[in-house]
Amino acid sequence: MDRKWISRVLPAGAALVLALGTAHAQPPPLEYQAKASFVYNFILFTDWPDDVFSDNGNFNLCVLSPDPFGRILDALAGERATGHPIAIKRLGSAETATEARCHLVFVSAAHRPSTELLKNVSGHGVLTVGEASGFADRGGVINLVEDRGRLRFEVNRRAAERAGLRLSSRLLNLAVERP
Amino acid sequence: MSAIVAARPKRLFRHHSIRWKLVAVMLTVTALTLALAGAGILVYARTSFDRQMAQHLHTLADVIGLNSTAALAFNDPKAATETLAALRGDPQINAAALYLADGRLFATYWKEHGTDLPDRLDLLGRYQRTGDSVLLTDVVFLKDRPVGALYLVADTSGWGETWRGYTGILAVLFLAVLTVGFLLSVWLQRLFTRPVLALAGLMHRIGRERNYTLRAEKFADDEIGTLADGFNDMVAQIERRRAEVEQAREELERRVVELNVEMTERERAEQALRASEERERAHAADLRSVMEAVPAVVFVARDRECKNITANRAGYEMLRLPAGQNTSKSASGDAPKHFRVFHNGVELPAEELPVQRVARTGVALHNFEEEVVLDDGTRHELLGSVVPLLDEAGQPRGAVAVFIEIAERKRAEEALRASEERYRTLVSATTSVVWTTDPGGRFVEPQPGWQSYTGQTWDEYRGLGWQEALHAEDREQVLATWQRALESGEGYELEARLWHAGSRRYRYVAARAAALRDDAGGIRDWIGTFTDIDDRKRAEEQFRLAVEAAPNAMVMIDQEGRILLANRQLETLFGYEREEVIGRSVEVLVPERSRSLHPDQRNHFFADPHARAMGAGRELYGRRKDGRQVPIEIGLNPIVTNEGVLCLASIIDITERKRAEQEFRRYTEELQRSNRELAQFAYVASHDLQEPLRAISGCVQLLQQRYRDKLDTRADELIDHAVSGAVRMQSLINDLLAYSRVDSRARPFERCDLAQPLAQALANLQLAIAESGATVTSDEMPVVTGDPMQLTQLFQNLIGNAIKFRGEQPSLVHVGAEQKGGRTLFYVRDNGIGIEPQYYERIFGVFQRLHTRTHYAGTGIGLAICRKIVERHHGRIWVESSAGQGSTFYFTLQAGGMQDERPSEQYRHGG
Repeated sequence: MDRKWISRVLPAGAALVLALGTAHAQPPPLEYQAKASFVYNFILFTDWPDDVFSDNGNFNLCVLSPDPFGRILDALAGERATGHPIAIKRLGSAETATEARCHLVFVSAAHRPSTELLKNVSGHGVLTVGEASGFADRGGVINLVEDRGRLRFEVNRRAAERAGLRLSSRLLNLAVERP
Repeated sequence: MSAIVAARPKRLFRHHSIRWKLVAVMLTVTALTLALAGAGILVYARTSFDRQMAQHLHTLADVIGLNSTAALAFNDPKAATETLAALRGDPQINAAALYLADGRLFATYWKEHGTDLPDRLDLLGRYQRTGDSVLLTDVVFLKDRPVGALYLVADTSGWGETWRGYTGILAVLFLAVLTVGFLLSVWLQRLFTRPVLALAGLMHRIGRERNYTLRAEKFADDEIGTLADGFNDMVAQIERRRAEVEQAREELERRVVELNVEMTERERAEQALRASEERERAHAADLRSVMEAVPAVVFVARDRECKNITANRAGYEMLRLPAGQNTSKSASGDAPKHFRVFHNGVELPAEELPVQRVARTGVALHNFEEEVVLDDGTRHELLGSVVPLLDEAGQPRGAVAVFIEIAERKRAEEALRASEERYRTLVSATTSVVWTTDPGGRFVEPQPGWQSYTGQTWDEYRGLGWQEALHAEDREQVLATWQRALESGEGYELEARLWHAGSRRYRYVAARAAALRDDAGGIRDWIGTFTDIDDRKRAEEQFRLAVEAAPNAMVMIDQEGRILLANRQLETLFGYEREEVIGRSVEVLVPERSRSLHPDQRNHFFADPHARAMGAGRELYGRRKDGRQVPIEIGLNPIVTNEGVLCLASIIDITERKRAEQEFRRYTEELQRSNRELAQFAYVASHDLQEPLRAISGCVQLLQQRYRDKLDTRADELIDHAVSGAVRMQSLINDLLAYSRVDSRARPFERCDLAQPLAQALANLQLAIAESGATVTSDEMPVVTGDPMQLTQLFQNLIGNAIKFRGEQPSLVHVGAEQKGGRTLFYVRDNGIGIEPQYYERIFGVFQRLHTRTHYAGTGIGLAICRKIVERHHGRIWVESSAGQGSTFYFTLQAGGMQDERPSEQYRHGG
């Protein structure tokens, strides 16, 4: 039994050192490493409706350009989340989100979180993650915020319900109360 | 207590009552059961405690881990610490901590500070017990991905309480059960022990009091009850048996007493009867002996009417009646009529016969003369007395008559004297002569037997006069024996020479005598016999003489090995006087070195006595008195005698023969030596003859060449003769030389393949074979030890002969070798003219020819050489053939195992 544990834990641990290992790091380049790890964890704590995955289809992780992660997100490509390998897609514009059949759309702080923008990227089975204040208030599901030097997140439960997503209570427990 | 019981049960309980043994057994069993059960329960409790603990901690860890996944995933230590704080509800958890996937400490919880938590932790699931605490590491997964680990420290002090609880209960239980068990067993064992102890007590009592009427009480119908019944039966049986034995013993005692009385009486009566019977018998026997012994005719009538008269032997013989017949003329029935009795010339009627008269009247009659005349005219003049037999009343009841014959005796004596031969017959017929003397050895009444044997008159032999008839040399010995017998009163036997009137010489007799005793045990008189053993003695003497005259030394021994007889030759051979060896052990003649073995060999002979040579195959030696040893040969003969089997040994001195054998050997050696010298001579002679012969031959041949046709014809003829003679002489000498060279030019033997000499011989004969068109075949030849040159010569001569003496058809020669009895037999077989049997031996001689020189060339030395070669190889050569049928020459070689033979030095001349 010990052997089985070892074989399971070691490779996974090694793979995640890159993605998650430096979550505490504060310098700007490291900030997105922590954020990428958060994004990945959101996937793990979220249940998508069954109809959004075609058979053997990918989990489409979309980033609305400009992509602040650089090559960090590419490390997640191929990781299995919710039973499907992750595919990184970079969207030129918000309008192409539906066409790209995104399951998660990350909207960087470069975009002002307007209702219109959010209407474009949101949809059935789409987890929207942003990093600009007001992203959740405008209709985004999860917004990454900074709270006394720590990376936290806030959740718009209504938006999640609208998108047909079920967020884990453990995730919700960690969410920052929205003012 | 149980431990002690287990350790030394025997010694501890040997003397205790069964009661305590039972209690001890029950308590031991109970205690052991409880101890085992308690141990089992404790072990089970401990295991289940551990299992529950592990289960509990794992569940707890799973719950905490699950609740901490998000906090770990989103790096929220605060949330994690809060989750850990939930452990406060579990008093067993001393501390807990969460670690990140890279092993760093993330969140902690302490029930009370002081428990150490590691700063880093490997993500390895683990459950570890250390002393009274348990360490658990549980890896926390998020969707199969390890995001950290939970580390729990729990204390197991709960076990202590559980342990105390269990042991307390068990101890109380143990004591309670033992107490109850003890009381119960004390009560229960009574069920078994009471009857058993009662039985044992009863047995003791019966044993002590010998009271077999006591019975055991039966308590129950179990095995002990059966035991009691059996015991009672047994005691009852013993009681019954004892009573029977007692009765039988008493009966026996009574019977023994009765029997003793009876037996004593009967024995006494029987003894008395026996004594009187014996006396009677003795009397009767005495009377009979006397009757038979007296040299007179005796008649006895046992009734007054003389219906039955018996006689002694002399009486019956006189009357020619069979012994036991009634001789009474007044018998009622068949009275004998074949004789008549006269007195003073007047025939007496039956009732007037002297016996009848005395039996009737009871008045004795003395010196009565009568004449008895038999039908055939034989007359007996008798003189005698008749006395009456009286009963208790003094009335006659019979009579005894004793008559002496007057004329008959004289005639008989004369007849005996007349012929010695007749006397001897008589002597041997009446083997024994009977005589009686008084206790002092004196003849007090006439002894007819003695008188007739010795011819002494009554006056001469009466008293001690009989001694005069003994041989003067034996008298002393006889008198000494008599003296001893008279003193001791015991009988004797002796041998002595007694004068025999009939043969007018002393003859050997064997005498024996026994004392006749009266009732008081005193000697009444002596009765004796003597037997003529002269013939036997003479036979012995003749044997002795024969042995004495034998040309060999002879010695006779008995089974103990004592020498009984030795002859003069033995004295000569061994140097002893015979008196020195007679009576001694025969081993005195055996050399010391074989003396100890001799008795066994002697016994062996007597165990199976038959004539044989002694020590077959061994050289025997005798030991002379002077210690010298003589080679001898011994023949053994059993002799059967009265004294048993004796052994007569005939000994021959073989010194001479031995010397002859040695001489023969020496002669043979000399012969061999001279043979060798002769051979040497032949060699030297032929060798030295060659030189002058060559000169003669050369000269004569020159003469022939130069002066042929220059002299006259006669001279030419003479020269031709001289040339051919010289040539022949030369070939003879060459052959002789070749013959002697077999020995003189011999080479040492070596191992050689016989095929090579054969091939060489065939090569030498190549021309002859080709000319004659002969076919020579051969078997495969073995390897032998020998002289290859000579073997070549052997083959060459034999094959050459085979070709030379061929018949009409082309010759076929076969050289063979076959195994026979471990040796190889070689042969050369041809189909030539053959040889007649009478020449088989001759052809191997030197210069022996069967044919003229004109028929077949050669000097006749070839086969002689062959024989010499074969003999040098220790083999044999011979021929089998018949004229016209071809010949086969066989020969053997002592191949192998033979020592190298070197030619003698003296033959090693060159040239």
